[in-house]
Amino acid sequence: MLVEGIILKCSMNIQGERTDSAIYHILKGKRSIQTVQDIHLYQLENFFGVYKSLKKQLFERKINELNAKGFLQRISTSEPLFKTSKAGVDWLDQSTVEIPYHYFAGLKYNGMANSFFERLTLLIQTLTNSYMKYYKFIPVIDTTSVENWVKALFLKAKSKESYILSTIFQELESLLHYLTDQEAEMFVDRLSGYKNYGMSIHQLAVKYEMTSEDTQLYFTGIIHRMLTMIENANSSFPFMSFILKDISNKHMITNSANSTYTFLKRGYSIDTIAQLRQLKNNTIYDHIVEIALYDANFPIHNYVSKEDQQKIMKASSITRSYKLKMIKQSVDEHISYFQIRLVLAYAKNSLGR
Amino acid sequence: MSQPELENYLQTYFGYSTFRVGQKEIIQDIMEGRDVLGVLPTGSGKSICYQLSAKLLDGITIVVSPLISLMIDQVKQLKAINFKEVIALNSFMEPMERRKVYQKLHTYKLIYVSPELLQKKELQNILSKLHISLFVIDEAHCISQWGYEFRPDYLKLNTIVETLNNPTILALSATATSNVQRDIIDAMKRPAIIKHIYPMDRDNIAFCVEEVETDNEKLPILSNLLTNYRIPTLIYFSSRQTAEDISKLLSDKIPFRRIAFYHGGMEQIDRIAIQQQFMNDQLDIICCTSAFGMGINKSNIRLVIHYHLPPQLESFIQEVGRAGRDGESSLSLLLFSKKDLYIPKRIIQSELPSKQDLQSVFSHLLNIFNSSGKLPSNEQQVQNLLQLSETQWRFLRFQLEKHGMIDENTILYEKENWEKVFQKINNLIFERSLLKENKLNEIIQWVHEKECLRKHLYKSFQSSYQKPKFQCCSNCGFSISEWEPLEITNVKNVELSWENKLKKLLFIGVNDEAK
Ligand SMILES: [Zn+2]
Repeated sequence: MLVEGIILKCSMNIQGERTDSAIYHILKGKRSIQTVQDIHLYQLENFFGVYKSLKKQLFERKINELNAKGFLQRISTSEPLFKTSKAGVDWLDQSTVEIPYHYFAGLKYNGMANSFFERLTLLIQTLTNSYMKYYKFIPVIDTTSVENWVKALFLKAKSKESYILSTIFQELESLLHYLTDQEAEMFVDRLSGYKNYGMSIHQLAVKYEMTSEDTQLYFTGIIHRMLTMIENANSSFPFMSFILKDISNKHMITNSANSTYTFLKRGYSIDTIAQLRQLKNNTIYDHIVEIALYDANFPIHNYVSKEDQQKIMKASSITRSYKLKMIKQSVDEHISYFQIRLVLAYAKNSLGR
Repeated sequence: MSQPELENYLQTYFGYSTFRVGQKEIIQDIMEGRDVLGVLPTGSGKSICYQLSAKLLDGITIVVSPLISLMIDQVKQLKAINFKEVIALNSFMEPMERRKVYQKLHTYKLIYVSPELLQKKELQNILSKLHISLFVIDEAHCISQWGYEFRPDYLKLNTIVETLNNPTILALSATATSNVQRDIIDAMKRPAIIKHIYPMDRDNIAFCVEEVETDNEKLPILSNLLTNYRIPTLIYFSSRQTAEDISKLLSDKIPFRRIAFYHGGMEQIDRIAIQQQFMNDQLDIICCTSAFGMGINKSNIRLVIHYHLPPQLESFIQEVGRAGRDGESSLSLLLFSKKDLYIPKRIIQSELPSKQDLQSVFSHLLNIFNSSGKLPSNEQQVQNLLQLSETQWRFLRFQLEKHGMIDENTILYEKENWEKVFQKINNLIFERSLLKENKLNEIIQWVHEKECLRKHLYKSFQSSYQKPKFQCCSNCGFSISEWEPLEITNVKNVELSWENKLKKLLFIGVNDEAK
C-alpha cells in the first residue's frame, strides 16, 4: 500500500497540473530541471528519488489500479492528468496510521541512503568475521567505492573489532528504539554478519507480509528516518556520523555533468567543451544547470550578473510561476533562457539546503 | 615439478590436501608447456587446474569465460582465500574503472575476460605487450558450431592467441562429445594437444523421471517429497516467474522448510545473500533458473529437481551434477509433462532471429546506412534499436561481420552481396534451429526411455559408466521409500527480539573464551 499511498500523496499536491509521468520522474529521482522544479512547486521534496528502481510498467499499473478503485480521478481525455479523489484523500488519511510517510526525506538523502546502508552492512560483516578470525567470507556488497571505504577503515580497526562492534551496537540500538519494533526488526534482518547472511528484499516481504515494492520503499523510509535522527543529534551518534561523513552530494550530479564541470573549472569555454566532448552546446548548458542545482559553490556570477539575477527572481515571484516563457517575457530582452534556468536552479539549490 | 611439491602448493594456496581426479595430471602438463584439452565433469574442480597454474607460472594467465557472474564469483572466492592478483574484465565495468584497470594489467597473475571484450582491439593491444604464459578457454564447447551453446566469438580465439605470442592453451569443458572435442582442437589449430577426458557419470546419483498430466500435479509431488526430507535441494525452472510463484506456493504449503528463489533478474546484493544463505545452510530449498549454481561449491546438495524439461541433455547433466559432490546418496527428479513441451521450443526460437527479424534488421541497417552509416557503439543500444535479444544480436553480428556487411560499427552496403547474405543467414538459422530441435528430441527420447536411464543419459558422451553406488534409476526399480539421504540435523529456529538479534550479530555480551 506504500507505493499507492505515495502516488496518491504526489497527485494530491499536483492536482492534475502535470501528467502522471511527473510523479514517476519524482519517485525515480530524475535529475532534470523540470522535475526538481516540480518537487519544490508542489512540495514533494520528501519523495524525490525514493524509488530509483521503479519500473515504468509497474508505475502505470498502479496508476490504472488507483484509477479503477476511484482513488485517482482522470481529468483529461487527451492527456494522462490525474487528481486524487475525495475517496483517495480519505484513504490517505486513514493510511497514515500504518504508513510512516514522514520518514521520507528524499531530496536530502536519496543520494546517500544506499551508500550509508552498504557501508554499514559491509563493515559489520567484515568486523564480525575478522573478530572470529574467519577471512573466507563472501562480501555482500560489491560496490567498489564501498569496498574501498571499508578496507581503509578496516586497516585501522584491526584488533579493535569488539570495541567498534559495541559502539555500533550502542548507537544502532538507541537509533532503532525510535522506530517501531517491526521496523527495527526489518532493519536488523537485512544485516549480514559472521556465517549469517541478511535477508533479501523478497524474503523480508514474505516475512512481513508486504509486496516486494512496498518492502523496498519501506526500507528506504527507515534509512531516511535513521539518517535524519543521526543528523539531528550527531553528537549522540558519533560513529554513524563518521560513516556518513564523506558520502557527499556529489553523487547527485551525473557523470557526464561532472566531467563538464571539470573542464569548466579548468577555464574552458562552453563552445570548446562542446567540441572536445563532441556534444551539443545545449547539452553543456543542461549540465551547467544541473551543477547549479546541486553544487553550493557554483560560481553563478560568471554566467549572470547580480542585477540580472535579481530581475529574474523578481519576475518569477511576480508571475508566481516557474514557467520559463512567462519569466522570459517579463525580463529584459538580453537575458537568455539559459540564464533564467540557471538562476532558478541556483535558487532551488540555496532553498534546498 | 614433482608431485609432493605440487600438493604442497595446493595446500598452501588453496587449503586442499589432495587433488581431485584429473587436476594434477592437467597441471603437470601445463607446467611443462603442453597444450591440454580437459573434459572434466561439473563439480570436479576444473578451475583449480588454471588457478594453481596461474599462481605457479611466471607470466599472466588469461581465462576466457562467457559466464560473467561465474567470473565475478570466482574472483570473490579467490580474494577471500588471499589470492589478490586477480581481476574479472567484462563489458559491465564502468569505462572509467576499466581504463584504470587496463593501466595496471601487468600487476595481475590471473585475468578473467569475457569473449566479447577480448574482441576489442584496445584490450588486445595491451595484452599483446604482456607476458602471457597460459591461455584458458573455459566452456570450450562454445567453440563448436555443433555444440548446444555455440558462441561465434569463440571462433576468433585462435587468432587472438597468435597475437599473444602463442601461450600454452588449456581448453576446458564439462560436456564435450567426441565431435565437439574434434571441433575444439581444429579451431584452436593445436593438433598435438593432450587430451584429458574423464567420465561424467555420477555413481551416487539416482535418476527419476516422473510423467504428469498437468502442472497442477507437480506441486503436491514437490511438497510431499520435501515434507518427508530436510535436505538441501535445488529446483530448476525455465522461467523466472514460475520459479518465484512456486517458491511462494511451496513456502505456504511447507512453512517448516526455508525456501527462496534465485534468478538473474535480482539485485546483486540479494543474489549474493540468497546464494550464501544456501551455502551456509540458512536455507533448505532454492527455486531457481539455470543462472544458479555456477561457481557455487556446496557439497551436500541431495536433491535436484527439474520442474521443466531442459532444452538438451548437456544442461540437464550439468545441473544434476551439482548434487552429491560429497559422494553421498543423492537424487535427480525430472517432472515431465507433455503440456510443457512448448517451453523449450520457445526458448530455442528466442535464441535465434526469425526470418521476419532478419528482414527487419536488414531494412533497419539500410536506413542507418543511408543516414549516419554507423551503428551505436554501445551493444545494448544496438540490441534495442534492432529489437533483438543479446543472443540473437551476438549471432547476427558475427554473421554480418563475416560476410562483410559491417566492419566494427560501420555499415558497408552492396546490394547484391546483401541479397546473397540474407539467403545464407536465413539458411543458417534454419540449420541451427534444426540442430537445437534435434537436441531437444534427444532429451525427450531419453525421458521416454524404457531401459536404464543412466545408461542412455551418458551414451553420447562416453562408452561406459560405473555401477551405481546406491539405487540406479526409475526404470531399474527405484523406490523412494528406500531412499535414505543424509538429512540436515535439527535446525534451531528460535525467533529472537530485534535487540537480541542485534546483540548476537555484533557479538555483544560474548566473552572472548566463547569464541
Ligand atoms: Zn538404471
